[in-house]
Amino acid sequence: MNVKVEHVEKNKVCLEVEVDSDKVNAAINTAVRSLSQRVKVPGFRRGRVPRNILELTLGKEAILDEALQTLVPEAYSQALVEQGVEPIDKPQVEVVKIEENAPLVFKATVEVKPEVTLGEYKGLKVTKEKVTITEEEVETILKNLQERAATFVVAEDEPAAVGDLIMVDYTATIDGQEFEGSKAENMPMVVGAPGYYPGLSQSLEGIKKGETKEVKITLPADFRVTELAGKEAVFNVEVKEVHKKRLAAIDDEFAKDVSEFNTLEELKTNIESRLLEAKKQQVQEKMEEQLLNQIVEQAKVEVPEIMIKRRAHTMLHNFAHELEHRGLTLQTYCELKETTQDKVEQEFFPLATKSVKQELVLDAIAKKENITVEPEKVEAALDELATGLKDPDQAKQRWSEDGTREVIENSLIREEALAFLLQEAIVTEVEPSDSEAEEINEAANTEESKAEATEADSDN
Amino acid sequence: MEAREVLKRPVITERATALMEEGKYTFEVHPAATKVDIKNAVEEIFKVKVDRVVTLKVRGKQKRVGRSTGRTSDRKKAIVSIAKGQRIPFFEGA
Repeated sequence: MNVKVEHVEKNKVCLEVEVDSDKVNAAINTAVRSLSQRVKVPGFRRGRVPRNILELTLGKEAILDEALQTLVPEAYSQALVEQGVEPIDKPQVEVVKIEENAPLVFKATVEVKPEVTLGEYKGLKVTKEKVTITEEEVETILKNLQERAATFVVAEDEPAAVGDLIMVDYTATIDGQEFEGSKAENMPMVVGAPGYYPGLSQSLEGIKKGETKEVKITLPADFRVTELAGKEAVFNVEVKEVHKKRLAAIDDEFAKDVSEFNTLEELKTNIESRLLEAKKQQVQEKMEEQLLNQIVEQAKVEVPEIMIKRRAHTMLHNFAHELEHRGLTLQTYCELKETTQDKVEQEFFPLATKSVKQELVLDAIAKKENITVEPEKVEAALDELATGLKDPDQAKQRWSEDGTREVIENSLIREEALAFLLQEAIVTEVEPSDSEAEEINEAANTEESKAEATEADSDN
Repeated sequence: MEAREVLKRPVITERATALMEEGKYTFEVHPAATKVDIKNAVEEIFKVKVDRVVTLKVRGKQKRVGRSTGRTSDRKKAIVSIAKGQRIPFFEGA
């Protein structure tokens, strides 16, 4: 095989490939065999059609075409490997010459990965936030746990306080008229909580079972039903039941109830370590973000449009998936937002450009630093991905054929490259800013509830 | 009988192509053609020497299309052996 590489345009390469005549003849023979299997010629059983008869019925071109089908892709991918060309698109192939007993010559023009001119990427400066856990943060989580573990006790003769659960019947009128949602029976309500009619539950504080009360509420201007917004509504409320909220004391007993730990001390340590983990993760991500921004800024790279388009397309696809989880389709979303799919895709362009750039630069760094990933690691990642699938082995087999394996390998390499950058970077520690501490708390909280939910499941 | 009248068309089937390797070419011929007619016709048209002619008649088949029945026509085939080393390129797509 003979390959000539020519750079035609920016990021475009033309490969002129010459394939030996032996290979051409072999391919023609297999083409004849496979065509004779597929084509029905009168007077012949399938697979028994001799070559000259095939040529008579289908024409010589059909046979050569068939041979090209296998010959070109094979030679093309071999040429890519030989010349170290990394394409990002399907090639445009032009066959120059195909004949029996002669070498095949074809030209393949393809867009390739753009050249990346790396800037400085060693010794980058990043700031690392100090990770500290305060007593209050742990307390907040404990309080949340306490809230969730609260029990409600039916109270016959006690006034409802904030946080208690009451069951009410009500009829409401606006200007003496009933409206949609103006009547309810046995409606559960938490005193002091926002609820559907803002202010209703708040005004019922101190009420007892069996009592009735007339409440006047001015519905807010941003009320959900626009026609009723800003109007004054009169509610006639009758309280059917009052459930007092009982909070458990935070002690060892409580710890046993809400977690798998036996003492409060153990629970606290666990919360602390979980918080620490979450914060560390966040800090790590922030440092990586800083690094990525710096290397992208310093490197010179022109991202081909096709890569951006393709990435944006994937993003749109993922977005559609997300919508489906929330019970929407992309179409209905577009209708709601009064846009089109294309426009939504366009909106992903800046993000797509950024992410493609990051990957290109990381790839370039990995290449320069000879960063590789052991096959075992890729295997492990694939195993993880395959667990829970019906047929893990078959899935893995498919992945190694359709390129998923390479995608995973590449992403692992990028991870390694990023780790390398971090290792080489100059890290300075700084005090954390407040706003993010909150976020972490939130994150830890949801984590907490998940853990609880699974526990509850296993109890049943 | 006129030579072009005698030979109707070549028979190109799996069996006929196999026979070609032995120098035997199969034709569909006029039902009334004799072996001598066939020999003369092949020699005249293809400029080869014919050694031997074997003929056979193929009876038409009963065919029905819906309610109406019909018959495919009877045919006469001839397997012509030609002199060693000679070929009829017409059969090979020439």
